[in-house]
Amino acid sequence: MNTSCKIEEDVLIQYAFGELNWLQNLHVARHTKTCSTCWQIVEEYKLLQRSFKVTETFSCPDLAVESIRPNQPSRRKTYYWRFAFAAAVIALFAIGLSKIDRTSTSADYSQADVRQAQNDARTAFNVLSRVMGKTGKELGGDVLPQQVAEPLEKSISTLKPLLYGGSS
Amino acid sequence: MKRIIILLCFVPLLVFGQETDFSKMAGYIDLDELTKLFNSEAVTEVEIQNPLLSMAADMMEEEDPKVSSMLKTLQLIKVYTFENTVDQIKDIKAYIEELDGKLSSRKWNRFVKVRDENETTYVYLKNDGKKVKGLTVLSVDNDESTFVNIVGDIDLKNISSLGGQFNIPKMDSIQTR
Repeated sequence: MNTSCKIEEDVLIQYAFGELNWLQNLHVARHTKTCSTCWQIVEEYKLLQRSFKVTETFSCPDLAVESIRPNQPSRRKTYYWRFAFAAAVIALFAIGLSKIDRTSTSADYSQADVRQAQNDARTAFNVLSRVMGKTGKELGGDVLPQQVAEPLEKSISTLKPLLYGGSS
Repeated sequence: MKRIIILLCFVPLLVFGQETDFSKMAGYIDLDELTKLFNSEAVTEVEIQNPLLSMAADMMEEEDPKVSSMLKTLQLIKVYTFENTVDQIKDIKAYIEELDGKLSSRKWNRFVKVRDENETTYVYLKNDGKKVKGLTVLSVDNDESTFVNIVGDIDLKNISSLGGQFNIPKMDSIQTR
């Protein structure tokens, strides 16, 4: 700042950048013709302004712009995303409901169904026992002896030789 | 965050939307072809699956604790009995032999085999290394054919203890011929 002059450095900067009105402009121009210090300041700022003007401009990649101003460009995208998200949720619920509908739960069965199942289970075991009993007779003995049942749980294959004399 | 929300949307589908696929269970065998083999309807046709089996088991808990405890661990019971006609027996026996081959290749263990001119009966167990997961009975004689498939954790001690109740012969010795 020029301490000997009454013109503030801010005014000189505005002059150098061409931001003063014509009257102020005239006043500073007259002054810089006689004051070398102020003239030098003005010249430095003019030089600085020129250097700004010649600085090459380049286009930023979209991602860089978005990272600087994340709200503005992505706002439209967010809108579509929300719409897609809502549609996906509705679709998933629809699929889920249709699946749930086909899956049987305890609530789907009445007392009569359960009683029927009880009777069916008894019938099933009766048929099984009839076949096993008949087979037992054919084999000349019992089919599932206690001694066999227990080790069978551990390893059936080890019992094969016992049952079939070495062959499977 | 959004990805997590989407994944959470799938959770109800995984929890509620899964149908029990018995065909993927170790002890399951496909008996659907039986209906094509026999012209007549089955004399006995039982197909009970969970959760009905569990509900039946709960209901029988006091009245029949042994059967109840056995049913609780089962997933599926299928029983078909058909009356045979003379001309069918050959086809049925061929079908049973075909099934026997399939079951053997799937590592079912055949522990009963009765084959004579009047009867063919095969009994198989499917073992996963620790537990018996399936029981299958294929049987044909001059009068009827019986097919049984029980899927689930099968406690052979429990089956053997049913003895008197379902006329299963007492099981305290073994004799094979």
